[in-house]
Amino acid sequence: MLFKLLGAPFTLPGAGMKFIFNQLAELADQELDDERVLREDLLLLQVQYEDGDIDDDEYAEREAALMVRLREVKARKRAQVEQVPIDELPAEANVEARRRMVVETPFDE
Amino acid sequence: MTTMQPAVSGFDETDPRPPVTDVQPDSGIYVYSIIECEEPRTFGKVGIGGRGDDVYTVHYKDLAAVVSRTPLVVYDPTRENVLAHEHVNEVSIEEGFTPVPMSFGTLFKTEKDIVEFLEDTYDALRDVLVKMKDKLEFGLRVNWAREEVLAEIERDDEGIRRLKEEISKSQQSSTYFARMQLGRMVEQALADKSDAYVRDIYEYLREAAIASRSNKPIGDKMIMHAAFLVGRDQAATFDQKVQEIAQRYEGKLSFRYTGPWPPWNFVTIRLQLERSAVV
Repeated sequence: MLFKLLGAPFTLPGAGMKFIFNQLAELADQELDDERVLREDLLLLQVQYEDGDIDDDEYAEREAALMVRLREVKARKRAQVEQVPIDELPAEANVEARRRMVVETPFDE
Repeated sequence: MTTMQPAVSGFDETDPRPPVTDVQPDSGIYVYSIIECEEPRTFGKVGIGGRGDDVYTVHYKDLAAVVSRTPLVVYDPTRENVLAHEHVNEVSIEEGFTPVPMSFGTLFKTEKDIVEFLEDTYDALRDVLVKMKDKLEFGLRVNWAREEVLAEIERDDEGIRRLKEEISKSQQSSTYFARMQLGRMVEQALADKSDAYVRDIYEYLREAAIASRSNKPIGDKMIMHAAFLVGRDQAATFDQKVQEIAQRYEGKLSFRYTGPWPPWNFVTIRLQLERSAVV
């Protein structure tokens, strides 16, 4: 018990950090989910258009609406990663951010 | 999965090389794919962005990035933009290359950044290029005519037919549960049919393909959404087999067959936001 008490002041900040970290991770997951949903909507829209279920005008209108939402989600995600307020994000695309290159091959012979 | 640390940062100020002349404040370079290619070449004025920018190559050793100039903007994945991106890949496939696709919307600031990226990821890119050499992707989406299939089930399924007859003969409220049961049986029969079709199609196409990947069907008409990795020399055979299987199911299933594509579903190169950078 004494050990535990003595240990507490040292472990608490760590736990706090972990909590914050988890929160951020969850937030990031949420953004990923939002983006995934929007991308699925976009795919569905493509399919409906290609199957002839919707015409050019409806396609254009719905695509534009999806793009607005996709941009919002991406901007939030970038702002979070680049640690800047969302309205101060640089306009540049895919450069200068902290990122890494990933080569994925979900395939093996 | 291979991960690498940042390959596309900005300028290295200690870099002794003279600044590259292509740097303009408003200009970036869009990267479509990586190919194996030692000599500089062009692929026509088909660059993304609608300005008719020349598509050309940026080299490091025997690798080249297929690129075009563009304003430094975020490209939305609109149909128009995605088709422009895909068209460049189509052209390079027609020219005999096997592009390893970059994910849509990847921009670099300068050619020097691209060379750095190629240099840093050289080994991984080479591995992937070797693995994917002369392999192309074909997409297959299959929709079903649910009503046709349903009619067939009601005609051929003994249990369902009998239950249906019983219900139509009786006008009593006790048929409520029978109707429920009928509904369940029909749903199950439909699901079984769908599975059987999909299995049969995979089975039929498998021998002409190196690998396949099944994606989630989109919408309620689609029962199959797949990508096949096919050797360039097998493309005609695969094509033939798709026509044959489509014919076999004419009236019940409709096939939407696309390609050849670069192997999108089997390899991607993307810039990933670094989550660990958050803290």
